[in-house]
Amino acid sequence: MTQRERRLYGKISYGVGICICILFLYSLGAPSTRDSSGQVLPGGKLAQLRAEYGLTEANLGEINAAGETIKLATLGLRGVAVNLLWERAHECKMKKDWTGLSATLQQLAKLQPRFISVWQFQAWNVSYNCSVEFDDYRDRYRWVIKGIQYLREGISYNQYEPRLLWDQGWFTGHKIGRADEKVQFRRLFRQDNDFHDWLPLELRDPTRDNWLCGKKCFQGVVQLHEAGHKMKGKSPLLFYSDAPKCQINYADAIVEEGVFDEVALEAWRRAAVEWRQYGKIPIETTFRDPRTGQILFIRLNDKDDDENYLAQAQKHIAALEALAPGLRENLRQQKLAMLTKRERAALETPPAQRTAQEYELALAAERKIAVSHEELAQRIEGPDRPKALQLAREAKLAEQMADYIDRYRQIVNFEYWRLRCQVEQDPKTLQARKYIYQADQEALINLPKALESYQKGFALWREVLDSYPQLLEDRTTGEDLVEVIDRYREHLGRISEPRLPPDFPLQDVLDRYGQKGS
Amino acid sequence: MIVERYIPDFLVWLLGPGWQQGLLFPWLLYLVGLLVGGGLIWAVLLGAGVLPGGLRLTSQQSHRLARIVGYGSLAVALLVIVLMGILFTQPPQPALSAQETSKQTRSGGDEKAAQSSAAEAQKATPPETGHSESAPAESSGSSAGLGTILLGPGWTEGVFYQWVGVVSVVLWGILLIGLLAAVIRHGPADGLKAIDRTITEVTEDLLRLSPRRVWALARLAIQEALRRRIVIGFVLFLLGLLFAGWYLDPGSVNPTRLYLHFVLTTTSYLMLPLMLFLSSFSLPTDIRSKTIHTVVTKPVRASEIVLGRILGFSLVGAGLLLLMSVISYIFVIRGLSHTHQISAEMAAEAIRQAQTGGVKDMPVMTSRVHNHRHGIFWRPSESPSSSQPDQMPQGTFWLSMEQGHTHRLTPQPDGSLQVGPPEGNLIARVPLYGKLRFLDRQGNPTDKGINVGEEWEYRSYIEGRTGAAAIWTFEGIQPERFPNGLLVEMTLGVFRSWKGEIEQGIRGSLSVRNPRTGQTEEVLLFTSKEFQIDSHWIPRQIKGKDLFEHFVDERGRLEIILRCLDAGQFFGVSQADLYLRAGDASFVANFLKGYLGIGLQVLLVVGLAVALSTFLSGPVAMVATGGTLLLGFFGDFMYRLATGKTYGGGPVESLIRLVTQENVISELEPSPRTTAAKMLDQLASGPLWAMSKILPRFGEFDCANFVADGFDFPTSMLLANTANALAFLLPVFVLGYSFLKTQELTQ
Repeated sequence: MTQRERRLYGKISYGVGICICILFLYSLGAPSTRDSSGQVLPGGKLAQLRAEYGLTEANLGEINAAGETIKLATLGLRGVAVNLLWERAHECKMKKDWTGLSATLQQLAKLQPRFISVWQFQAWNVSYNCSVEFDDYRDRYRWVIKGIQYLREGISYNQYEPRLLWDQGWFTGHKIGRADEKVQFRRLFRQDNDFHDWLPLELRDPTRDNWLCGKKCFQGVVQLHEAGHKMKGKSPLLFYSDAPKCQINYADAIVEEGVFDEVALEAWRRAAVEWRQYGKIPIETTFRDPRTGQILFIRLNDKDDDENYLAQAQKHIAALEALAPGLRENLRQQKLAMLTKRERAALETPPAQRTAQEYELALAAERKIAVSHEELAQRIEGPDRPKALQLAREAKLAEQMADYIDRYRQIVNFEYWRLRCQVEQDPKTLQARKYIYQADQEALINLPKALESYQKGFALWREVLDSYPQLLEDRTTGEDLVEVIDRYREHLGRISEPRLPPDFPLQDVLDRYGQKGS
Repeated sequence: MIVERYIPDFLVWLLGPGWQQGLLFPWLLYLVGLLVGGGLIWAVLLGAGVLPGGLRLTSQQSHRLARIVGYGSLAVALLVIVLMGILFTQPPQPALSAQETSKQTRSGGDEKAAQSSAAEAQKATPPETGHSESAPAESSGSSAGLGTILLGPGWTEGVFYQWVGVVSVVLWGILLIGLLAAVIRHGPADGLKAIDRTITEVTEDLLRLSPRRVWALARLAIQEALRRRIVIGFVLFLLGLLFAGWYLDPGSVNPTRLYLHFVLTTTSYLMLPLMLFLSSFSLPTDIRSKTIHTVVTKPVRASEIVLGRILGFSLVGAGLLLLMSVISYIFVIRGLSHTHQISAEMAAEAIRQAQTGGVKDMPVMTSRVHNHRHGIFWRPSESPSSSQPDQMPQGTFWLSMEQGHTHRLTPQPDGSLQVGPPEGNLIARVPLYGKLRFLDRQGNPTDKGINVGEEWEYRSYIEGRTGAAAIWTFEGIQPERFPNGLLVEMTLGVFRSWKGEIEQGIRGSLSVRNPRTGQTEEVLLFTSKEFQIDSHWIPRQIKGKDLFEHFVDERGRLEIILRCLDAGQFFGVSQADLYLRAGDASFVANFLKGYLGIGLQVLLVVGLAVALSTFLSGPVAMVATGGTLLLGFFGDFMYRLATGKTYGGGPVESLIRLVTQENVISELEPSPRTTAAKMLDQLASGPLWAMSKILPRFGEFDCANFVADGFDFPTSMLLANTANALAFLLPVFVLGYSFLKTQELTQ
């Protein structure tokens, strides 16, 4: 091969290499376009990924030139720059250099606009950690709001990211509504024209209540989740409950602030409706259907329906046992006969009289003599056997579903809140709360009148508790009442012995929840 | 503002805390001042051509003079070394004298704190502390001996003496190494002759510097800089400012601080690499392209070439800085300029609020501009005037302080208010700082207050409604300086150990006390305001007693005592958190001081780069200077690294932790590797320590914080920084000159 030919082949191979690279780059980076009929063409892999993760800046006006410039200016050392900025942010916070901290956070945001954890971490830092550094509650409030504004900025870069919207809802609801300064924060929040004007229309609430503004954010999270932008890192059971819980918290907060009219009743009514609707939502569980291997969905309300899973299970069990009457008992007796002497003795001892060792033994024995539905079906011979096996499987699944629903209901304290919504709509409850509120207000002005109001309130509470005895099953109401009783006793002590009368109507509440740590 | 280091008086910093008591002062000072001042004037006049020529000496006379001066200098340096040897080999005295106290503190790591403690030990402490009045005479018989008598107690703390000591040692070190090399190369006799010749020539070159020739060479350097498009740096700066609006948020917590920091930092970040690049490549390019021959063939000395370059490039830097400072000033003023709208309804609502018992949460607010609003307040006037509209009650409006500024209001005939430009943001407060000490809960003197668990230990806390107090001792309190009383400004930290009254700030009190007589009077009860400057007047007359007669002692000292009045709550203070505002300096002058700080950094970079480029190639000189610059910025860290005051051990141990992802707190597992790492770190600590001491601390030249926070940059610090820069430049210049002289082309 001559020199000239070698050069020619070299050039051809370079050309081919360049073409391959260009094709590869095109397949990666081709932008998403529309054809003449207006149909969207997905573009290259990067464009598809951008669309999939919601990273596309749809309009030219939304492209953040500052962020792009600052990224270019770091000349590929973005990671190093970010590291330094995190360090600086920490130092600014440590040295309470709030100007420096704000500027650093802005720079960080421009360098890492798609990194959700940055927005979450630093917004939390600002709203929770920096705000408490200030002594003046107005400054604290401002910094809580700054954190929320920082989150909103993050949302503007990541519109389809439910985590940031969820954080906004949490900060708006819980940081403002649960802080030590909640009275002041909620008041300032209502007065904050700038903040409410700045909020997007869909998140504004005419009442300007922090809980209701938070609720709007949580509703937005659910919408995003249902539109396919999955909420990561949080159980659907919990984030579906956030919006109705905000309504409950709102109702609770306004009553605590002295609103006892129709507004309060309506708030509780609405809370009850929303909680009920929450119970109807199919919620994805972490369990799978043993038959199909698919993820199971439950509805919290399903336990209360006439055709609930427990009833279904019982129906299947009854049908199964009807195929071989007395077989279950026979099997049980056989297993009982195989127990050791000590086990049998432990099982025969009444539960209240068992020692710790006997308790363990009895428990093990119970497990040994239990006859599962499958075991029972396996023993059935003849033409009924397939049916028996089918019934056993269905009974087991129905029992499992009932168990899952029970567990999930406990996690969100479903029954308690449903009952609370019901109880709080009762005019008696509202009146009882009104008496207690009036008593607290009057305590420093007119003590005898305040004590009288307390007594009226307690009497009404007695009636409420008699009507809804399950209310005391959860310690929340009980402990709230104990706090009120303590205040009453304190005021009582200002004129006489802080001793409660022998016929004190809420003595049972005191007995149950009055002792610390009970 | 955060002032983490004590700011001493310039002469105290230079000559030691007790310099005034030295026998040689003030006459020695006058003499030095006269010589330096006279020399400078002479050089300038000579350089400008006002004086005809220099000293007319024959070549032989010149050689003889140079030899005398050269050997004389060496003799003085040797004497200094011997004196240092004697001083540092003396056993320590049992009595704790002032300078010993300071030495001990210095071994703890902070020289400036040492100076302050030494100075503190000199001064009479109040009877309450239980210390006796320490007499400077006490220390005259201690370790420093003759030095103390001549130069005053604590003279060893004076950086001038330290510098002379280091320079002497380095000079003799170089001489001995050179002598050894010459003797090995040429034999004893010729070697000694060569050294003698070098000493004479070097001294002559340095002595016979011609300001005129230096100026001519400096002009050449300026022309070269312009030819190399130095103006690009300025264009870049302008571009930076054009796009700065994208990043700077005028609605941030303190936009003034943000803007000022930005312009000063941008200037610094732009100028330093630019000047580094320019001065590193200048000489090597000339040498490579042989254009240096057009210079060296003229009757110029190597020292003049080096000095000419340094001067020329420094002047270019100064010119650029001046331009940048003007543009930056306009940028800051324009960026911060804004006004608000106040309608007649808003003004009427503010009056209504004031008349109905004041504001609880939110006052009436102005329109929103730059992401903020101001609260509008009103108070009825004591003497009604007829200038205001009839329908409006007579009184004065004012706006709350937001983002570090407020605005002046002018009522309009229609009832609205005209809002003036921002006020109070571009200022340069002149603070008079005091010395801080503490009393503990029982009222006994203690070094520090309580640490409430903060990671940053800048502030110490005092507990409310106990004997705990923070006491500042101020000096120089004269009626002429504070004719109307004292304006006290505070930035206190607050820590609540329990919630308390949420809507009520923590209460505190200020008292004044005469340090000599102990006469004390409470002058002020206040409610804390965090993260803002809280100003209060201490009037001239306090309950019928004159402030200066009763509470200021004959040495012009006054104590201010701060107490927290709420039980279980705490005030956090540092030395700079309470000061007396002794007036305001010009903001423009302070702004220029900020640029002067950058100018000093530029001077150092240019000097170092030119000196290194006399014997290194351009890129290497640039990297070497850049490295020095970088190390200089981390000088404090290097010092802590060398003295084992950092977490995670020395460089090698840190590297192991980095690779193995060990945390910095827990001890490394005992192993041969750990032992080896610790040994290597021990070895590295010496060079690190030396480097941290020798390299200029570039960060300390930066006075952006002072300017941005609205505090006058103290002249003493400016002088100290200038002296620091010159002290570093002098040996660097000699180094550069020496290397250039050895280059064949200049022979």
